[in-house]
Amino acid sequence: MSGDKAQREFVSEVEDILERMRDDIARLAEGVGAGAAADPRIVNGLFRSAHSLKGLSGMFGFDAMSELAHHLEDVLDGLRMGRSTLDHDGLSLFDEAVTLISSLVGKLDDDRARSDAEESIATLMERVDAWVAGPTESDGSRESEVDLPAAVLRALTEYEEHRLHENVAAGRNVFLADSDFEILSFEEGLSELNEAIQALGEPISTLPSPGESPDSQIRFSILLATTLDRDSLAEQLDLPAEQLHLVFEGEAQPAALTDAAATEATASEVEPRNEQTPADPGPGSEPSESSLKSISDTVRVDIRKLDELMNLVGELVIQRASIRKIAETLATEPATARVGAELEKVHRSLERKLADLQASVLDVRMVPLRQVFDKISRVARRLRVDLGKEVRLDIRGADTELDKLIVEDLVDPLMHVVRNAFDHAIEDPGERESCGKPVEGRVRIEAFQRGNDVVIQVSDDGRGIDADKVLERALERGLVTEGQELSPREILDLVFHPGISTREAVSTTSGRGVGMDVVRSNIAALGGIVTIESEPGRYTTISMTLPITLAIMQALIVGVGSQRFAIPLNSVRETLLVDPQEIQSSDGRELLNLRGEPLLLRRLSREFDIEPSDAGKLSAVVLGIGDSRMGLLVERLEGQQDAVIKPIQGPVSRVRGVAGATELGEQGAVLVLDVSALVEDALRGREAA
Amino acid sequence: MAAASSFSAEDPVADLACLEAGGQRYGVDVVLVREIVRAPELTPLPRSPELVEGVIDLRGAVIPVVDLGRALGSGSCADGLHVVVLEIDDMVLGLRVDAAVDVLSVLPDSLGEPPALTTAAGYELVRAIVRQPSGHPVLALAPEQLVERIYRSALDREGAA
Repeated sequence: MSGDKAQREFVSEVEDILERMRDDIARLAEGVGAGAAADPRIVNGLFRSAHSLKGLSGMFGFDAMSELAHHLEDVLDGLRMGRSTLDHDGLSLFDEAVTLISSLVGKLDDDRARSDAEESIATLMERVDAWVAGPTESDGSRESEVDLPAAVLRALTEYEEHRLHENVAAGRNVFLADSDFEILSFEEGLSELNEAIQALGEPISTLPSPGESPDSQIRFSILLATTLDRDSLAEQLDLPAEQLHLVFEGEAQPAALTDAAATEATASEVEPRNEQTPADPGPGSEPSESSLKSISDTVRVDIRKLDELMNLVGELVIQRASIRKIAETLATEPATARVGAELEKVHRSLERKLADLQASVLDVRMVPLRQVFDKISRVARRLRVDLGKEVRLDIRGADTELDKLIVEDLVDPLMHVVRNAFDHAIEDPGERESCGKPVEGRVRIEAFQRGNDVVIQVSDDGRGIDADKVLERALERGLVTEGQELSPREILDLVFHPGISTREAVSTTSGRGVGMDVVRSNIAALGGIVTIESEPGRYTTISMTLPITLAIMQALIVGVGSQRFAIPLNSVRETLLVDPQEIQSSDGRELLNLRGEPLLLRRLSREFDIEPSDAGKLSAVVLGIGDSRMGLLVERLEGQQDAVIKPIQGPVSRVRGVAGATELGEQGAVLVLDVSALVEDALRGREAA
Repeated sequence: MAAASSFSAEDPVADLACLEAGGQRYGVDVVLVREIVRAPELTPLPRSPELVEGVIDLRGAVIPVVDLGRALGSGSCADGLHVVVLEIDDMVLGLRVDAAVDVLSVLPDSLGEPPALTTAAGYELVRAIVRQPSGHPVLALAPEQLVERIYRSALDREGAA
């Protein structure tokens, strides 16, 4: 199933690339036609396309395609570097390549068609190489084995030349057959002869031949390839043997090949240089036709359009609420009770449909993590070589889906973590051996869904993190004070501190890389958290927990004074009812004894300068970002709700402590709290602004 | 900041949306006006720059709203009936006003430079004074200056925090 999906994505991505390539080729053709030099920007674009095509097809194991792309890349590189100049031949090669690949991706499931296409790719690659080598050189090699007059060779079109090569390479005999026709009826005669040759082999080219034919007659030479020898050919074609000139002698072959050769010829594009050449029968036009049609039924959509859809759904939800109100009003009046009940029924079904609609729109945003993981494994392959380490990368859960926007922003931090594991955590082979570990290091990336979150873990069996060294460095930096009691967890957490560059902290002999603080803030920006676990000499595991989507979240609605706020539920650990007398004050800080542990408290009313109401009891919302905890005191808990979070526009987009706003039914905008900012400020003892 | 408003004394003619705030009449180039909505309930925005009263949800977009009367020091229009939604350099901003009155076509010869005193006092929010044959003059606003001010006070706030 998932393989299917992956393949569909592959096809759709390849088609996108091919589409771009077609555009670029067309634009280059205009330039070449006008005699201008190739626009380097277009050539570069084409080069990049070929490059992505190579990577993509290689990744999916379509080696022939990948190799062709690789050849194209070489050619384009040559063009880019000015080693060669673009001409129509080169362009038509690109064209053919695009057509070929496009017909190949349409036949991925048809093994026979696939191997046929792959064969054509092989021959196309040869021609690409020949084109790169330049026309003069390509005249050399195999044509020298062909005993053809120079005039004939020069008269061949590129395609005919290619067919000649092909047949020579396949070891068939190549003849130049001279035949005289009555001038008045030579067209008929030629096409009859060509048909006859089709049945026996492949007519490559028909050339008018100067020479000693009687006045009323005209002589043509037909270049043809066949497995038959001269005598049987003469007999079959009803031509005198002396009119058949063997120009290339192939290996002796069993006769059965003629059929294949014939179909090959008809299936290929026949150049209309000679009008006498019989018209191509039906099946021959198939490849070009199929290349015009899109094979996959995938549509690429700008994610902002999905946001718009999401907004519309949100508005519909509000409209729905109004309908329910009307239904309720109607139901209470005896005169309209029946209509009210009907309306209520309709309303309920509308509600269900709307929920489905919302779910569908959300589903469209979801993409499997495979895309990211594939990128990472490519980088990992390179890293292995660059670092000279033996590392096995295991990937699990690549089908786990996440919001496209999150996936985009996940690449960098995840890459960073994996790079660290390869670079710093996994020891050199020698070192591993002396520790009694298997020489091959292991890095595992695992993704799975947990509730409304997706967890991505990167584990390695490397040297782990030396807590003592981290602590030492943190002391030097004044991040912790001498004698401060820290749990092992808290010490490891220092690695994420921006003040600590971990490379310095733990040095190259025991370290992880730099920039874990960046990883944490990147993940926090996505509404996620990063935690770390490690045992020196054994392993390190870094876990990133992310919400499945940013478009919609579960929010806890809280109230202070006359205002209400939404708190993302994924950072709410628990809620407690607090008697104001339980709150202890020390050093101007308020604390609560939470099961024996002190919990730092902040009052939302004070943070945001809101007139508190005389509520008596308060509620504490325990917020957690990673291992940091704080309690936010509010007056009311008003339940959970799905919320679509939106940024605040205009010049006030960055108010500290506010992540955005959401609309709740008819009650207008409700601000969504930025929990990580609140927790961070509280822990740093920063006063409310 | 490049003048987002096409409105200037050199223009042959400009259309001004006339607004009332704190008993005074102001004009804003209609080019900048995206729409005028009946004022919905405002959600206060804590820790925000002083000029910003709060935010409203305008069909899915959350935009900040400025009390025009207070911003210009002519008395709050917190009970104002309308919010004028402006779009300035891709920035969306709501102005709470007491009322949106009408649209005024302005001819160049009815335009006057703002009095020197007001510009000296940092009153850069007024771009020109439109004399009216009858009644009070209309103060033509430079709303991008308002945005500028909000930015500055937002930065001050961040710096102070």
